Amino acid sequence: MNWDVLGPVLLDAVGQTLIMVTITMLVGGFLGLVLGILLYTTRKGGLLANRVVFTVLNVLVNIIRPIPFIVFVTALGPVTINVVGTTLGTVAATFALVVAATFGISRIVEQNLVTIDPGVIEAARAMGASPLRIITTLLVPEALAPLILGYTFVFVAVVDMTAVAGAVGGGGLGDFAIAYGYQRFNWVVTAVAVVIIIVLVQAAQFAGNWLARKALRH
Amino acid sequence: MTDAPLSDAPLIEFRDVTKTFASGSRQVTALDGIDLSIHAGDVHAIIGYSGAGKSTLVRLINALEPVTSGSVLIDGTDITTLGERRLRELRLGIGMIFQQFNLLRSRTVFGNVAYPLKIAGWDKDTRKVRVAELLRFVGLSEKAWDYPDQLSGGQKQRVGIARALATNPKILLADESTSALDPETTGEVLRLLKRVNTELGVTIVVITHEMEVVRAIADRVAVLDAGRVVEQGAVLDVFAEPKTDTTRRFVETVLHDRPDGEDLERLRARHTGRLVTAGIRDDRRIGTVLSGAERKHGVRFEIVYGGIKELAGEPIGRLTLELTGPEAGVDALVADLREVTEVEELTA
Ligand SMILES: Nc1ncnc2c1ncn2[C@@H]1O[C@H](COP(=O)(O)OP(=O)(O)OP(=O)(O)O)[C@@H](O)[C@H]1O
Ligand SMILES: [Mg+2]
Repeated sequence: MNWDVLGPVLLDAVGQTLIMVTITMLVGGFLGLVLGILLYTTRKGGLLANRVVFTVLNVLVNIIRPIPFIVFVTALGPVTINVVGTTLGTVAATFALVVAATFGISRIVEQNLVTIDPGVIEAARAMGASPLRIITTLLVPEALAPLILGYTFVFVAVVDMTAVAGAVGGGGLGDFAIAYGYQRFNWVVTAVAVVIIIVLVQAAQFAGNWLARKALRH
Repeated sequence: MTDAPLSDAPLIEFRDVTKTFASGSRQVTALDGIDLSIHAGDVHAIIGYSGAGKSTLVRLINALEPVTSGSVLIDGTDITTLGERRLRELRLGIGMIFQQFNLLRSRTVFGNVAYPLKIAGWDKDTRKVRVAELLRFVGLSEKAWDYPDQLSGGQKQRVGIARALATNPKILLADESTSALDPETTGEVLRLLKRVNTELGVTIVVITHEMEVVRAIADRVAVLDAGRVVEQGAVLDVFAEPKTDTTRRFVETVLHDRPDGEDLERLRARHTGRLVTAGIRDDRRIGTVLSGAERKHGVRFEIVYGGIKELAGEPIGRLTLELTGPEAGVDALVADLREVTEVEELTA
């Protein structure tokens, strides 16, 4: 086994990881934001307080979020088949990643929104702002810095989950490290995969911190 | 206060308003049968101790909370029957400022003041002009691009006032707007509020637990105690003749004119003569009576306690006098004093 052969495979794996992470962060990030805002606004005393909606969403998030991703991927199989037509491959893995990330992110979003001073929301209401306007022009901007840090944290967790995606034939760096490194006792290959993941995570953390600082203007 | 003719119909009217909150299984009655009229052009203060229901009352004026029963009329319209959309329109015409300022941390001073204009649908250019005008009015033109974190408390409240006035509201609600400020800054903000009232003709509802705030800017005052209005009227009248203990205690915090408790005991221990307290107002002058005391009644007087403040351009307060001399003379002098002002005997 040499790098002439391994090189392109590694490049493919990096590409798969990047695709899975990017799509998960974009789609899951958006859906998680919406779900988190719903959790926050429908709770008691919230802008759209609605006991039934809140209870249903809250229970759903509580059930799904703690399931380990490797179990979740397989448990989601029937749904995945219906949506993407197969339970194998990068697309199927990405689907599972998106669903899991949505629920995980929703809690992080909710927790960050709770820290907003209710007085500011009251001030906006007193100005005649509608709930939708408050959500779009006040909630997200006011909680932007902690939200960025929250999403950075999620990014690292998603990279971790993509490694598991190898288990359902999703490919990616985790799969590469297992298939070409671990199973063939090639520690160098494993080390290369590890280094790339570390670089990826560090870059994300660095960018996240930088953006959050910018959002705080400090 | 304004040059505009004042109509008789109140701008804001509470009719038998009750508000209860369910807290767990208990019912808390925050407001209990409130009848209150606030007239256009006035600075109307609502004073009361913590938990009296002041914030609850003021939040009914812009319908941030619904009433439990009764009605709230703004300009003759019963707002308790309006839908959410109409209420949002109503709120565009009512500004509000807060104890903790409640500025948007993510926006600059300019952005904060422009925010209500965006909500009201003003276009970008008119917004710019209006914000500049408002910042000039509150004296913060140089701070337009600062963030709230970079401002002092007084400056933050001035931004709050500019923001609340952005859409040219007829009414400004101020809930403990100076309670987080030091005395000097409080004075600054109160003077600004007074200008808002006199120069812009905005009717202001001032919520406070400090009688000094009432003295400084209010025309009328309602005293709230345990969810009820226990006393209301022109500030001067309420100060001069408080009818309830609650009001009397509030008045005392400003005038410091009525010795009681330890002060009274100390006075009695120190002075052997008869102690009486005489009210001082513009039209109640005790000087003439006192200057003839010795000649007419053989009674000498000493001023031993008291305070006089200016209120709406008039002096108001009380002086405690020690009167020494023959019993009949003192009685006669007290009778003379009673003819010009109210007199209270402090000796048992
Ligand atoms: N949302 C609420 N739920 C339950 N009880 C409430 C609520 N808001 C106010 N209350 C109760 O209503 C009463 C009046 O409260 P309010 O905030 O109006 O008092 P306040 O006069 O403004 O007091 P403070 O000077 O402390 O601000 C209090 O007993 C308070 O506990
Ligand atoms: Mg209050």
